[in-house]
Amino acid sequence: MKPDPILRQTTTEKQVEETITGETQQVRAEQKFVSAEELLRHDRAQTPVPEALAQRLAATVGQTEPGSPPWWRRWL
Amino acid sequence: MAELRDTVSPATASSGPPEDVTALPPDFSALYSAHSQPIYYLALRLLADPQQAEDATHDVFVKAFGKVAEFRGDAEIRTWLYRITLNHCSNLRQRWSARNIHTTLDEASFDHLAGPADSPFRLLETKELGQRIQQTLNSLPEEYRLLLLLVADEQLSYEQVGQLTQQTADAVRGKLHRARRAFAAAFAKTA
Repeated sequence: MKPDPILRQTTTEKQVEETITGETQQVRAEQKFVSAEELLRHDRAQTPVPEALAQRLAATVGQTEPGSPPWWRRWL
Repeated sequence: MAELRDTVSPATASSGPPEDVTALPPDFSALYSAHSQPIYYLALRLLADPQQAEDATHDVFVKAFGKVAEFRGDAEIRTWLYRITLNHCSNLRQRWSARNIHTTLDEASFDHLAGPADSPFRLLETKELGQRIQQTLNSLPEEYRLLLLLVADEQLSYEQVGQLTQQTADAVRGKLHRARRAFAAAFAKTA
């Protein structure tokens, strides 16, 4: 899908500490996004699934038999 | 009217360790790896609560576990997972609204979700962006919120988004333009 370039603004201001010749400088970087969707995709990429979820899911499905195929599929 | 807890992205993907999916059955592990992030993100932004989003994602994949053999392709699986997620989140929100729960921003809930490798600056950045996006989405009509979150997934066509939101692809295109403008206006107010 093509994003609509309506959202033209700074969305984040990243503060990065860099030590140069013993001095600490504050560097402000900007990221720009051309659409709401692009911004949401960026946000999604920065949002990892909780690490514990896979283990929790494994424990749950380990107690569950996978569903058997539907009856009609056995005849195909 | 229920006010949902504002929240943020709990950590950055680049800084956290890779998720261990080896405990899952192989076929199901592949499905989980391919779809868990978009499903979790949709739930997080609809529910505005990391714990509720984790619970919802867990429940969605438990349902998928019993159906994995029935799907014909990745696109169909993704659409099905989204549909289950939307229904699940809708039911939860209706229950919250009925009970008129009032929750507030809880800074402590952010802290325990941050991975140990996160630098303070990165965490601050993530919190700010996540909070602004959540605040923006919360202020939009539900239909706009849904459209934007679904269209942001490049794997979904307008037709599939229309199926998920029970309208035609043309209607999706028409409303999307207004949704984008509403998002841009609301996002600017969060600065």
